[in-house]
Amino acid sequence: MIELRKGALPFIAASLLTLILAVLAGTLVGPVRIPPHSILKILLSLLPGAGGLYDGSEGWRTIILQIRLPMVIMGVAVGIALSSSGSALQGLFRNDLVDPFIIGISSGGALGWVLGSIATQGLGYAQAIAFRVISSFLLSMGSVVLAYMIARRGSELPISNLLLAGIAVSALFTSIAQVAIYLFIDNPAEMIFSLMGGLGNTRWHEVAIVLPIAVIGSSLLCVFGRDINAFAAGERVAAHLGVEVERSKFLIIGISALITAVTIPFCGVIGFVGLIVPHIARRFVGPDQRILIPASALLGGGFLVVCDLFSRSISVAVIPLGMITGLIGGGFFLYLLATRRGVR
Amino acid sequence: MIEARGLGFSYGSGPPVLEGVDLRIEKGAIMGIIGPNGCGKSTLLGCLGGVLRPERGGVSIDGTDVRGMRRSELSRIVSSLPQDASYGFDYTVEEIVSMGRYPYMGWLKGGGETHRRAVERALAEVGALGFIGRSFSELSGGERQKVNLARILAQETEYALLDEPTRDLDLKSSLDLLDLIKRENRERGLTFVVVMHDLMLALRTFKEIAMMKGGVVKAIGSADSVLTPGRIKDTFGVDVEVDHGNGVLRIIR
Repeated sequence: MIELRKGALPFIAASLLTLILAVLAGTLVGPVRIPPHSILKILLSLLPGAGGLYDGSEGWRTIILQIRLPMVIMGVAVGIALSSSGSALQGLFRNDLVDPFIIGISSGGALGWVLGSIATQGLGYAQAIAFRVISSFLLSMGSVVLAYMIARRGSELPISNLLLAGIAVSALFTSIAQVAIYLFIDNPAEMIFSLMGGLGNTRWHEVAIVLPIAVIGSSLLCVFGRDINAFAAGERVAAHLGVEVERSKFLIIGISALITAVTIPFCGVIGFVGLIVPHIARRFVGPDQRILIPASALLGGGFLVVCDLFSRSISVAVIPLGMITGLIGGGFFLYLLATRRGVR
Repeated sequence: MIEARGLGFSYGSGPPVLEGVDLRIEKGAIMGIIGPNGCGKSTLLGCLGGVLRPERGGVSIDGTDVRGMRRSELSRIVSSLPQDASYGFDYTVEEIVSMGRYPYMGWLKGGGETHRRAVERALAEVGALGFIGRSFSELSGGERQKVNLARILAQETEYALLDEPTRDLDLKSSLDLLDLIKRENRERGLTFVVVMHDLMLALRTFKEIAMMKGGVVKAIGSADSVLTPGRIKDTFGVDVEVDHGNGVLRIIR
């Protein structure tokens, strides 16, 4: 198997523990106070044969199982998706300043969602959701391909170009989305608010769409881990190491865009998670993507749920989750820019 | 044998970089490619290794056209070291040399005993086994190129294409690296095609030399026959004296 660095196993164990604790804490925090032992009983009563374990309030049971748990599991799914997508994109573009939000994938996805929502007004729920997920994916793919094509100079991809192109594409797509919302959506404030990112009102059937795509997509990215490592040596060397460069690149970007885009119709834009999480994970497990992607996914799941806990508990009003990650991530991004060593 | 016939290449809609290059590199050869900046040396290496698609002409390796070969197949036959090879992130020496094993690995399968041994053998060959657990970015320029060469050796190909491997090295490190290359060629029969700028080092290292100018090969043959004062004057515009018996090339101006 892959050689693991010294810090890798403890880090993975700690990430797993964080994930479990975050999920438990996520079911604990909310406007209605429910004692921890009741929550445990409700959760344990889900196990086969343990149905009779909980005999308390049916209202509490509904709050835990139908409101908080789907929200927390959605948080885990979104964390997995954004973190593994960020890890793969950083490797592919050979730069640790990359993130699905920064290079424009998220804004493309948001525009796709808005346009999809406008186009599907009046359609049945299932059709509308399918259409919105697909349009979100297509435009997120479009935005990253556009940024990539603008940034590329011959066979070179200067990172400053990619970041600038990503910012420009983001700004453009976000503006188009906002104009479209004001022109065509009946309740613009509500849609703008949900674009800010959050896990509120998550339903189980939404989790059933996002979680499998996030998990399968991240696993597929792990399968491409060897190719992404080879890209770290440059495209030409990657080709000499047996990578079908254009095909691999297209698939890696496509999968990363898909798992990012699928979260947007349900949770809005949550930035910077894909920037921060792979950074922390890389410190402990090293840059080998075959281990970095699963490690980032694990840490990202817990990280997002913790951020969501902050967003729900800082004040009486829920602060949108995207703002919390923006606060942490924006600061982190500035720190990275300020302390960077010279370009290698 | 790598054989190029009538190679023509340009980047996008730019001016042609290669204009009808014919070249044969026998198995077991150690060939230097020299020529002034911008004459198409690196582009030629790209075409020979099958990563650049020539617009005209073609390249065949051991009789098979590279266009018909899959990358996975080609990667077991030809390896390559670009100019200033870098790896973007803080990989360890072991992780970098292991990349040379990718052509033989499955998608998720990592090391395994065979791969591990190949990595260690390659590092031992270049005298860098002691670096195995260290971070690549901590190494000196000379040490890095040894590790890069080990990555090429771990790939166990028949042909290796090196683009200015001594470019950023001091004289001692350059000589050490070229000696390693000569030894691998002599003892293991690995075929090397090496782009070089330093004519003195080229004279000292290569049995065969191809001299390029303006996208064509002006002369090809033994170092004695190619590195003559007349040809060097024509190609580089520099006056030199050459003493082939002692392997000395002296610059006059």
